[in-house]
This record gives sequence, structure tokens and C-alpha cells, in this order.
Amino acid sequence: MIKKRLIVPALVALALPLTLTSCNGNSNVESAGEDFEVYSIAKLKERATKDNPVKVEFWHSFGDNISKSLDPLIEQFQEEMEKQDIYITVNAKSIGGGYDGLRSRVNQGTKTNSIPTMILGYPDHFADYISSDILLPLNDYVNYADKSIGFTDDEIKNDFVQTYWAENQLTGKNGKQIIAGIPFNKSTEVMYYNASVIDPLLEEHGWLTEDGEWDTPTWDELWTIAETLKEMVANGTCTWTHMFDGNETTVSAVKSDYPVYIDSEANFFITTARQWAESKDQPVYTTVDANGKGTVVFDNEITREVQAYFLEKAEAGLWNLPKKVNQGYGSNMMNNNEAFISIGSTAGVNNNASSKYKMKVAPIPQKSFDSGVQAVIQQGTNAAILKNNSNNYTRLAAWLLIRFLTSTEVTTTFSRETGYLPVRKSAIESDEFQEFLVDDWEGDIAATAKAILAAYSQQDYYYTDPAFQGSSIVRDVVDLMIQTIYCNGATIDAAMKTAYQSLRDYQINVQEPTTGA
Amino acid sequence: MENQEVKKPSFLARIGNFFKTIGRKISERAAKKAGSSNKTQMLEWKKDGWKAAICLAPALLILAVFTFYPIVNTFLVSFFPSYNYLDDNFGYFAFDSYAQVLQDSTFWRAMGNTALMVIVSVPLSIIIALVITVLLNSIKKLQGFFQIIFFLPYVTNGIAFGLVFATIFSPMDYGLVNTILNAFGIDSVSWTGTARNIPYWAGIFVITVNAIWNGLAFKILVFLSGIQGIDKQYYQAAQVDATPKLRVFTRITVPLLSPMILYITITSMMGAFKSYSSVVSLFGESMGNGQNETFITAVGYIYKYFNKVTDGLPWLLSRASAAAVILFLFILVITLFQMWANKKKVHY
Repeated sequence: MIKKRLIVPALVALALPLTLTSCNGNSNVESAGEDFEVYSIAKLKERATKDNPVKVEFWHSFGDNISKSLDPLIEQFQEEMEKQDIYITVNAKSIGGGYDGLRSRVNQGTKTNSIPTMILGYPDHFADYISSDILLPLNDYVNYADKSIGFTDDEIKNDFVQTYWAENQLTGKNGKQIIAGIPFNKSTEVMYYNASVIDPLLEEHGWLTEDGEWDTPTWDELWTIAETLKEMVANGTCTWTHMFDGNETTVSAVKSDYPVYIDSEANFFITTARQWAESKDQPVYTTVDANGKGTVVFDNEITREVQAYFLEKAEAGLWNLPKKVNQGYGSNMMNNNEAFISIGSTAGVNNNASSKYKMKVAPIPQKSFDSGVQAVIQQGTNAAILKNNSNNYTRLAAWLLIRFLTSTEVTTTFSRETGYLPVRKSAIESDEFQEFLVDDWEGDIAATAKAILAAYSQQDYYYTDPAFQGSSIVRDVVDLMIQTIYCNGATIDAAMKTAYQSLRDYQINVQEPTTGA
Repeated sequence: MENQEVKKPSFLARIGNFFKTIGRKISERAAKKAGSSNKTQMLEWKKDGWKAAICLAPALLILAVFTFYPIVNTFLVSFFPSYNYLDDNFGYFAFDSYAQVLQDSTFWRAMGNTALMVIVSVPLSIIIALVITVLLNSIKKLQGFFQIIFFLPYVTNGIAFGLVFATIFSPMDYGLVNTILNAFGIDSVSWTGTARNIPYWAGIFVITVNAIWNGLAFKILVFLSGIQGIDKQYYQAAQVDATPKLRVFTRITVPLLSPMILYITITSMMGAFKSYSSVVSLFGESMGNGQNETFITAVGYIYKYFNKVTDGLPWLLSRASAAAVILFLFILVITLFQMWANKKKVHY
């Protein structure tokens, strides 16, 4: 009797682990492709009345700081539309968990059709949305004859930063090229450094320009500086003076396990592989075929050579990943005066600004500026429209919002306030923005301007790898691979093989290694 | 020894009784049709049966939606290896996902780690909780104060708990344990961290301490309520006979607490089998030593695939489901075995 009585509750309780994997609901998502039509502004005006405004659900993943800059711009958009008697209510919502959390939430919502009309995301995410048939190709809006809706040819070809525009050209479900998104908040990687201690060293080597900038740093130069810094710390001569609260203060660095830190494992791997490649187009990381199917190719002679080069420098104590010392970002170590150079995103500029030293921002080091390939990764998200939980009115309203947010004036304002880079050349060249860059600012604004200047000095080297379904997982696998090499002491060969094994396990297409296998 | 306590049937036991009643009434109805029952009994069954069904409906509905449907769905998906979460395309029927899981050395490492956690942390935490309970029950002064002290971890915010734990077992020299070790001239140990080489023994030690600390408060609470419900006559009789304290503990306290010990053992065991979040908080999402996934657990293995379903690989749900089903069967067998083994030792 006891046995029978206990079996039922035991079964119920033990079944809990099974509920972990079974959150898939019923999918009956109707494709919005057939009913899609670009409505005119006049038609939207008829529908978007004061009593019955058109509602646009907009998901992003900005924190409070960026939201504070975005929200007034959205209000401005609503007000400008109201002046034309078009009433649009935008519900902007920040989804937790960063951009990956946002993508996850959309993928979960796809099953129940609880997704927004407008979204920010990386091209990798858009590749997912294309696969699940929820992304609205923007071609018809972009090319619409009425230029109060569409973009002019000049805007598309000459005004939008072309590398930003290009990364949004993806292969649609039918194999055709589509415009998946419009560039919105863009960033890149730069090198932050403690100029109080490093500028004299650069001057000694003749690497400082007349304007006091380290404008063309190479990896070899970086290691030379790092070696000197290590010696200085060991000798107790790593000191500098800095103005703090109006007083000249002497600061000493007494410990430095690694003078240089590189924040992003995947960016480091991808960027250096690209810099060491024989040409810009040589596949060294991933490739995508005409049908949008991706293949991983990152285990090759070039990447192995690059990693061997950097591992030697890491083992010499010249650089490492922040994780090696239990930190998330190199800026933490810079602020502790235990590091002097940190390579990271322009979006993290304010974390690198310090009251303990004079911060300067340089482009990231290249293998060489005289020959070979120069490369730096292009980051940041783009705005897109999802078609399933929307209609032609909400889609048009969302499109007008995207158009507004990427206009010259708005992208200038957003950039000045947030440190993200403007997406239009006309914004970069505008008097307002140029004044912002050269003005003698103080504090966070100065840091933002410096980071943007450094970012623009390397805009000719921006690159992105093509996105495909699963490409963001490839990045995760590379992150872990690099971490295992530099923090857990795995050999390059073993780590590469394990990474490839993981990708095969996830059923991601890999091209068998050309070396070391 | 006979237990003289009159225990109220549990909620689950009452559900069991309800179904038994339905069965009996159905038999009676069948008997009545055969001409050997009376009218009054049938009317009572109708009235009572509907009342019970209405009362149970909300709970059953919630269980059906959030427990039974997902379970059935998990079983179903696990047999379709190419099932795509995003477009609901089931593809072909096969046992491929099970084969992939069972042939994966990481899965067996995960099961081994989990088994070790169950074998080490469950008995240890129960023994420690029992000893603390008996000691708490035996003191007169400051009993309430100590009860609060031991119960505090149960109501403490998980983040605060994690921060304290991270400080104690920080892999850096300034960690509490490493500071003590350094004071004795012993080198620091990498106890925790996302990107460090953590020795296997150190990782398991930290996981075990974490599990014991985490679960102690609830166990003490249950045991204390049980121990305070034991009739004082037994202890008085033992006192008259001058029975040694250890014998009182093993012959009176433990047998009369045995239903609670069984309950705590089963729930702790299931909890240990489901270990995941504590391991992630200690060693990061890779669950230890980068690609090596040294401390991966069975549920960690399920999540490894499940998390990627909405991260762009919707075809991995079948693999995660197959692993979940295997874990389910594993826990089921162990639990049934445990209940069978304990049957004669538990005094209701």
C-alpha cells in the first residue's frame, strides 16, 4: 500500500526536470508576406487618429543611461508626427539579458506570436528571424518612390556608412538578397591607455605624433611598450603625476601581472585572424554560400600562427584576458593602476576614464600599417521590423520611426549623448558633430569624443563576418576556446579541436581543418 | 515500535484517496447495474464526486498545463531528432537523440559529477542537520536565538548568499579560505571562478559545502518540528531506565523521525540531482575550466543544449529532451529503489 501511495507523488515530483525542455508551444504563425503593402502617409493619417493612435511596440536592450537619451528622441518623433495629424504611440521596452537576451525573447515569443513590431539586433539575430520567417524585408520601404517614406539613392549609396549598410544585406528565405535592417547604434573597438605613463615612452620611441596621438600603433610597438612597463613596475619606477581635485598628485603602480588586457575573446580572435590574412577576402573565420548557409573555417594555418604569436606574448606576461585575473574588463585593472592599456569597445569608454591618470584613446594595433590587411571589428545593432504581430499601419509607423532615428540630426544627437557612432556621413561631417569632437571638453564628454575620434581614424578598416543561422553560437564557442587557451592553459591544437567538436555536436557546418588535425 | 500518532493524510494522499473512492464507486455502480446495490449510495457518489472534481479542477488544470503537457511533449520531441523549435517541424521518428546523448562522454561525466554530489552532499547534510537539530532541541537557553541563526540562510537573499560565498572561496589571495591557508604557509587554491584551473577535489568540496549550507536551514526546520512532536513519554521512560544518550538517539529519535528523514532524503536527493544554478554561479556558464566543463551536472548538460534552442540552434531541443528523459528515468529508478529499501525502516 505504501508503495502504491508513494509512486504517484514520486512520479509528479521527479518529472520536474522534464519540464525544463518542454516550453515549446503551438506554432501557427501566419506569414505576413502576402498581405504586405507599403501604405501611403495619407492612408496612415486616416487611420492614426487622436482617439485611435497606431501603436508600435519597440524592443531594445539598452540600460538606463542609453534609454535616457533614446526616450526623448522617441517623444520628439511622436510630436513631429502629431504636427502632421498622425498619432503614433511608441511603447519602447528594454529587454533584460543584453542583445542575446533580446534575441532569445523574440525566438521564444515567435511561438506564441508575442513579438514586437520593431526590434534592434545584430545581423546574426536577423538570420534567425529570417529562418523563422518573422523578419520583414525592408527593401520596399527603402526603395519606395515617395521619398518622405523611402531613402534616396544618394542616401543609400553615399550617406549611410557603407560597411554598416552592407552588413544588413542578408539572404532571404527564398534565396534573394534582402535589406534586413537599418544601422542604428554602431560601435567598434579602440585602445584605451594611461597616457600619463605611456606618452613619455612613445615620445622616446618617436611613435607620438605632433598632436600627441599614438595614431598608428602596431602589435610590435605594443609589446615594446608593455615590456618597458613591466620593467618599470619591477624596478619601482612606474610613477606619474596627475592633477586630482586641483592638486598635483603622484601615483605609483606597484604591481602589474599584465600591462595590457584585451576584453573580448571572440573579437580578438576574429580581428587578428583578419589582420594576418593574405587578403581582405580570404576566409579565415566563417563563410556563407549563396543560399545563406554558413560554414566555419577558423581552424587553419593563419589562425594557429596568430594564436601561437599571441600566446608567446601572454606567457611572457605582456598581456592577457581580464578573466585571467578574475575581472570582467581591462578597465577595472587600469583603474587599479595594475594595467596601462585596455582594448575594448567604444561603448565602454566611460569605464576607462579615470581620475588617476590621463586617458587617451588610440586605434587598435594592427599587424602592419604599411602592408597586408588592416582590420577592426564593426559592432553595434541595427533596427528591423517583424511582420507577424503587426499590420501595414504599425509596420509603416515603425518604419517612419526607424527613418527618424537614423536621420542626420537624430543620429548626431544620439551619438553625442551616448558615444555610439553616427550612421551617416552627413552626421559625421556636420558642424555640430565636428565641433563636438574638437571642443575642449572635460570629464565623460571628453572621453566620449576621444573614443569617437579614435574609432573614426580606423573606419577604413571596419569589417564584419557574414551572418548566418548559428553564427552567434560560433562566436560563443570561440570565446570559450580563447579563454581555455589563455586562462586554462590548453594547447592551441587541443582547444581548436574541442571547439570544432562542439560545433559538430551543435550540427553547425564546419570545414575540416587545413592544418594540425 | 508502534507509532501512536494520528497523522492527517497529506494533500497527495488525499488525491490518491479520491481516485480510490472513484474506483470503489464505479465498482459499486457496476454492481448496482447487476442488481446488488442500493439507490442511496449511488446518489452520494454522484454528489460527492462532482464536488471533489470541481474542487480539484483548478489544481489539475494547472498541473495539466504546466507539468503533464510539458512532460508528454518532452517525451514526444525526444523521439524526433530533427525537431525544429521555431517552425514546429517534427521531421522523422528515431532514437538518434538518445544515441547521441548516451554516446557523449560529457553526458557521462555530468552523470558522474551529479552522482558524486548526491552521494556526498545528501547523507552529509542530513547527518549534520540531525545532529544540529538534536543539539538545538536539547538546549534550554537561547534556543530561539540559535533557531533563528540556523534558519537565516533560508530567508537570506540568494545574491547576498552568493556574495558571501564568493568572498569565502575567492580564488584570489584575499579570499577568506586562501588567507587562512596562506597564514599556514599553504599556497592559494583556485576554489571558484569562470576562467581558472580548478582542481577537481577543490571544486567538488566547494559544491558540497554550498549544497550543505544551502539546504541545512530547511532540513533543521523539518527535523525540529518532527522532534518536538515526539511524545515525551518515550524519553521519560528511557530516563527511568538510564538509557545512554546515543541509544536514545538511535532507538527513539531516529525511528520516530524516520518519515521525515525519508521525506528529506528523497527531496534532497532530487534537489541534488537537479544541481545546476549553484554550479553556474561558482564556475560560470561553462561549468568549470573552460572547454573542459569539469563540473558539468546532468541538468547543466540539458541546459547546455536547451539554452541554444532560442540562441539560433532550434534543432537542439530533441537532444535536450532526450537527456531530460534519461535523467527522469534515472531519478525515478533510484527513488523507487530508495522507497523500497526504506520501507521497513520507516515508522508511520
